[in-house]
Amino acid sequence: MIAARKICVLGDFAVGKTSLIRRYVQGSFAEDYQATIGVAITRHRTEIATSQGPQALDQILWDIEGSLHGRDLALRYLEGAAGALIVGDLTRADPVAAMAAHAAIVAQELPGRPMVFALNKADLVEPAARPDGQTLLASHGGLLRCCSAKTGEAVPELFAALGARILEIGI
Amino acid sequence: MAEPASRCSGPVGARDLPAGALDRLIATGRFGLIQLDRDLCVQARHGAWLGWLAPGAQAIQALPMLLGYEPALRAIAAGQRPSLLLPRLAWPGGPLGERVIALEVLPAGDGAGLLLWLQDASELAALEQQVVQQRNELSLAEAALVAARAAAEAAHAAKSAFLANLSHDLKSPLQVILGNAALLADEGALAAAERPQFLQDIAASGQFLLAMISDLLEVAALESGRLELSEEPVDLALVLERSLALARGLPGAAERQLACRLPSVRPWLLADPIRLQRILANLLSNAIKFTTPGGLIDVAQQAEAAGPLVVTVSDDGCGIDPARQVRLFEPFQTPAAGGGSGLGLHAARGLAELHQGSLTIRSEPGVGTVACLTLPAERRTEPPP
Ligand SMILES: Nc1nc2c(ncn2[C@@H]2O[C@H](COP(=O)(O)OP(=O)(O)O)[C@@H](O)[C@H]2O)c(=O)[nH]1
Ligand SMILES: [Mg+2]
Repeated sequence: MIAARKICVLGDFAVGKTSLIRRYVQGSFAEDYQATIGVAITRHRTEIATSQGPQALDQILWDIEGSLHGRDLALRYLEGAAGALIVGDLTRADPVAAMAAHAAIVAQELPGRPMVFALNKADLVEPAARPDGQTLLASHGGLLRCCSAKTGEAVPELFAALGARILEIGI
Repeated sequence: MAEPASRCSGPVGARDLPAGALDRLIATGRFGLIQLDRDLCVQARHGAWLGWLAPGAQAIQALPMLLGYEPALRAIAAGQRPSLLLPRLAWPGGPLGERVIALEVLPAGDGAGLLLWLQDASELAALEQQVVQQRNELSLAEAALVAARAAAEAAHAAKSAFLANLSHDLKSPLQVILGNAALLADEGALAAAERPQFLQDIAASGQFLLAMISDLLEVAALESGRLELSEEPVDLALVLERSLALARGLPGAAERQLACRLPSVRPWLLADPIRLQRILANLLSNAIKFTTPGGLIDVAQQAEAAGPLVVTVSDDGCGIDPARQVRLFEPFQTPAAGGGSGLGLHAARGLAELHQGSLTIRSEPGVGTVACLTLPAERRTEPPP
């Protein structure tokens, strides 16, 4: 039987969570912004390269409304997730601080679960102007990439890395 | 379906419900009810939009939104946890279609399993969507305004600092010129052997002033859109050679190696030769400023016979740190070291863009800097007969 895991995608509103999932699952992108209400789930079957070789994985992706806050709501939707993709927007003032706030909730509610970090909208920001985000990795480990839902840059890599971490530590 | 409905006790509050009430509720099409047994398998489902759910199916597999909640479901069935509510849940592309539902998990009672109570919340969610969307868009617009204001304030501060520096920068060479001129005019003040040095200092200060004022005038003309190119067929290699010859006369040039690599076929282009030379002069004087003595500066023109014309000026100097690279082309950004008006690169890019070209800079601290001037292929032209 194919393993299935719940993966939460978290970040402030309009940073590109929905767009990253759409790029990853459907390979497409839309410029217009449609706020997500509550949570939209997507089931995506993929093959993950692990240190034990390739392994099939059903990723149940939870695209969680960015404007939700409060511990109760977070708890309700995060429960049982095997890992999280934390998304930030490179065009905002301090994307790393915003991501750190989401990562702190995951670290508290889902201790030991892997996270990866997506600094999205890289197509809009010159490499020299991007923050390095090392503080996120220092606190939570995982992988951090500048990526773009628009161009697809680094998008599969982030989901694959999270899938591999989840399978390798056997959550 | 009357049986399961009448068995529903506490959770749905059905103890006093008239017979058939739950049926009528579900018949509205706005609700659904799924009964799970102790093993979390589907026992029965009620509701128009749940027909696809096969009795006997493993709930976690049939309803992927339940994945991860197994411990919670078992705790609810065992009476150790009251319920679970997921108020807004969509599964686009799944059997619920575009529906947004509220999903509540309740104990069936007497350890008999679970009830999943589903409510079609699409209408409410659509209203919420509009409100949230507007609120989000407003707060994005507000953030953009705040950022634009900060940028405007920073630009204003840079301009003020620039004007303060400028008066100082104009004053000191003028003082050299006036002071030296006075000394030279005074017959007895200087020994004959000293005079050439004082004259050279006057010339250097004059050159500095001239460059600075040219930058200022050019930027003023660029900003006001008044600057017009005077275009003619130009031998690009000749412009490069002339710029290099002038650069070799700059202070510090003698201690650096200036190399030039040109293709064997000399391309001609339609351009303003004076402005082109100003761009190159700027790139070369920066390269000289930011390399240490002994450094290597390389001017190259790409050999392609068609397509855009690309000229690079590379150096192995100290490079530019990433934070400053971002602002390099903004006006009034005085270079960290080496002086200059802080307008040169801004003007150079403006001039490149007037030619429908571009000017970019790649730099790595400690490795060096490459400036790249690209002029569009449409500017290629035949050499005059
Ligand atoms: N240029 C650019 N725009 C993006 C990118 N990702 C998302 N967007 C835009 O940002 C807005 C918000 O995206 P969305 O995915 O709805 O954000 P969410 O609220 O985090 O789900 C939309 O207008 C997207 O088109 C990206 O990588 N590059
Ligand atoms: Mg969204």
